[in-house]
Amino acid sequence: MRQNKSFRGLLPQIVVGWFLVTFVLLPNFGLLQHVFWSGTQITWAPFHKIFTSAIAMHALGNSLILGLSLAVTANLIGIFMALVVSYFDIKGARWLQAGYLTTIIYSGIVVATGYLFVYGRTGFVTRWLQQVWPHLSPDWFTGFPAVLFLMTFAATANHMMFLTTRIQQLDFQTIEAARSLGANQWQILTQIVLPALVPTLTTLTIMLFNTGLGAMSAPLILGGDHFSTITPTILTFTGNTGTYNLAAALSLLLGLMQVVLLLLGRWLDRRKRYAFKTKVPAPMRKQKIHQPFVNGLVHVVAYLIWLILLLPVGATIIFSLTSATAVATEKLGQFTWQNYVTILTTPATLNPIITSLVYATLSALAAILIGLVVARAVTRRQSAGLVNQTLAGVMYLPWLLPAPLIAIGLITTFGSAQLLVGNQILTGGLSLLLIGYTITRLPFSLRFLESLFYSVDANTEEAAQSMGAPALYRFGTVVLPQMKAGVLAIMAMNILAHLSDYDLSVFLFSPLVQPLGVAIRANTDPANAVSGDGAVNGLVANLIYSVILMVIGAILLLVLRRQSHQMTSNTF
Amino acid sequence: MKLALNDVTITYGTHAAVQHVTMAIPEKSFFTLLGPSGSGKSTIMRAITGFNTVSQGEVQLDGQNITHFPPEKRAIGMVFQNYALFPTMRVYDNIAYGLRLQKLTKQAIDARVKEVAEIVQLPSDSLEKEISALSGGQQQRVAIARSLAPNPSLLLLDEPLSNLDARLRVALRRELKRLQNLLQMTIIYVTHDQSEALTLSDQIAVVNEGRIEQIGTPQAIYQTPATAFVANFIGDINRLGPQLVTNLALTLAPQAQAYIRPEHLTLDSGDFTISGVVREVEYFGSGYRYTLLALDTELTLITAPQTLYAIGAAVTVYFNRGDVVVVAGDENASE
Repeated sequence: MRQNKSFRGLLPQIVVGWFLVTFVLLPNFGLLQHVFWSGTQITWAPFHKIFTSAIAMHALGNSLILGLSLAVTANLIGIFMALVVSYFDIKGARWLQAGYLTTIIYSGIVVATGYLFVYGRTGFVTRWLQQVWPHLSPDWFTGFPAVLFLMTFAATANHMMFLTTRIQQLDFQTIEAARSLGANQWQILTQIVLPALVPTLTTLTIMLFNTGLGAMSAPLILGGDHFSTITPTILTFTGNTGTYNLAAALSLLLGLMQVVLLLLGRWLDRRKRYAFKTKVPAPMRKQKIHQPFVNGLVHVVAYLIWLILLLPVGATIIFSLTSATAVATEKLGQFTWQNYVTILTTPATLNPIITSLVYATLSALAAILIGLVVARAVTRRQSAGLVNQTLAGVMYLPWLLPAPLIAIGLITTFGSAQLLVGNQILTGGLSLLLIGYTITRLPFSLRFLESLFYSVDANTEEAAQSMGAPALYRFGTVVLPQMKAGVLAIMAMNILAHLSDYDLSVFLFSPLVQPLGVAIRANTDPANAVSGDGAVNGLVANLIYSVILMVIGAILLLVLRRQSHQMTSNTF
Repeated sequence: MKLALNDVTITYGTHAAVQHVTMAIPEKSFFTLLGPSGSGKSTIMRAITGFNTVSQGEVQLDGQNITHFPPEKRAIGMVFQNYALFPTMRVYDNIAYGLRLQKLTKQAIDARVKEVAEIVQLPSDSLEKEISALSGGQQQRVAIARSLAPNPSLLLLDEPLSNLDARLRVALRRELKRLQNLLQMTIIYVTHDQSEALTLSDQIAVVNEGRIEQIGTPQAIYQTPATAFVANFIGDINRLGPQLVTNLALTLAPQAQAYIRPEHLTLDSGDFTISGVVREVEYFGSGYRYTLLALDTELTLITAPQTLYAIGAAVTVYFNRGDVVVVAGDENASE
């Protein structure tokens, strides 16, 4: 009886352990074997090929340049935006902030297609520029500058959120202290405020470099013929059996670089020179810029950035309500809901939406279930035990691995029959994308679920236990209800992360069901739009997909916000 | 440096946080703004430093109107409640900050940093430390050293001891007094702690609801409170009820109140006696605190540890009529 009970208690851990070994550890070993094992001996041939391949080396160089450039440009713009929103007293700061945050719901491949729509061959900005400069090439918005421009503005919302939070945590009395010692506004900004942001900026810089290094959608859509980076090159290499080994090796190389960067970030974090925080910091107050010229200039730049960020969003929404011809020519015609009706009633165009919603929801749920099992095991006892610690360690592993590495590992491993999945071949099937989505959300889910478990008063569960409640019952009736708001917030974030995913989907989707990210990319691919009508329909579909994604994103963010409020009010 | 506030009023929207404050702070004095939380004392202090805008009236420093000077142009040193040490800088750089803004030479900065570190008795090896490596008391010394380094015309301290534990608070209180004696500079000190105010100050301004209730020496404030608020806010005091007042043959103006301090009540001698019954007894180590009911008045009385009466015991209380303090004003308004 006792043995039965303990087995039942361990069953969730056994299932989670199987999942993690099969889908997180095995693919990585499989990939290493695929790259370094020729069948009879260890080989370095794929790496040798990479280092002698002009395409691969060109992509590698471009990725490094993009990573470095992005770290500079996004930091500059991001710092400026954060100061405008939370440090300086700027007219209409709330509107500016709302505009600056649009890329949270308008991101990934959607933002790339939006920029292409505005600045591309037929984009109205391009046409307007051609009126000013008639010799301007219609393809002016391609290559490295276009990719960097897009990625800079796409990356700044997250950047700004982190910095804004940090600025709001500063002790306002330090600013007053500097003033009382004779410092002017510029000196306070450069000597007191910005140095306090350095640890956050260091982490953000590494994240930005990483983003640039692993960029997929932007170089793929806007890179043109001459600017390709590692990830699109991996995608190209996977399409050919002769270069598949190269793709695997290149993804390993990318993974290695990202791991090194993340470890560097952690090392810098630990070396953080100042952990000093005031016990009760004085709340920040916004600073008026005293010099009228500087004040005017800051306002102009702030609204210019706002315009750049909102232009593609606005154009997407407005043109989604016009006719196909208007979309093709980007000249506003009559407004109509017809495009929405067509897209949402035609199975071919509706299916990608449903596919993405189903995959994103199921994977979000799976990641939470796995996270709940491990987080509870890790947090409920004083010592989590080696097995649970190992499970948690494996769950954090995908944080270190870029999407192509995870994808190629899964494709490679489950392209042949594997005992751990009942000798089934999963590659090409429906499940691999779900597994990929789930894996990539494991670290985030575990991290936040652990925090949630720690925030639950352990005495409440002990009280239920003392009254005779069995483990599962008290978890369901006492513990989980206290975490409900947080769990829903994690669920919303997980769904949001994969709704328009392209980077992972393009490797793992089954030809039977096309997720939204892949559909959007297909609609922007010139190769798929040779016929005039096809191109127009693809464009229209993309605009509507983008709007739908924005609406779903906004709803999920609202859920998130409500749950966060509830969590805060529950805490107090 | 002499500081004066002439009819200063500070309003936030329609709310007047400080109303018609006039005071002159003598040169080289230790001047304390004392009042409960939200009384307006910090608002007055921030008006002196320039962080709060004065809506009406003026602030004068050595006869010069500095009301509209920005904080960075006032040369007033300030020690903040949280110390506001710059977390990104070492101790040395914190202290040198104001000196660097004065564009002094490296040698001059170095000499001055070491000089003020010595004044505040900061160990020389702590100059290279990070702020996070210091104890609360050491952080306070750094904050004082930083504000003293640029040779300010006067020094303002905003509840600088409130974040410290009781023992350290007493030690640093003495330290502040030593510094003031050593530096002979004008110090304006903000606190809600009456014992800090009484022990440190040359003069105290009691602030309540944005107004100055009384300005005077600690002795004057304690012994002859000008208002019911001051009488009740500073130290323990017994308000005498109407029957006891009549027994004393005192004639009070309308709304005036009569008070007597617990230490003026004894069980052995005085020119006035009154019978009472013990209601409560509290032992506090060095003696007993009794709460007695005498006529319509609840009296607090302190005795030596040898004297012990049980609850319900009848006692005779003595005091001198001359120790009774009469103040004008409605006590309810001050409670």
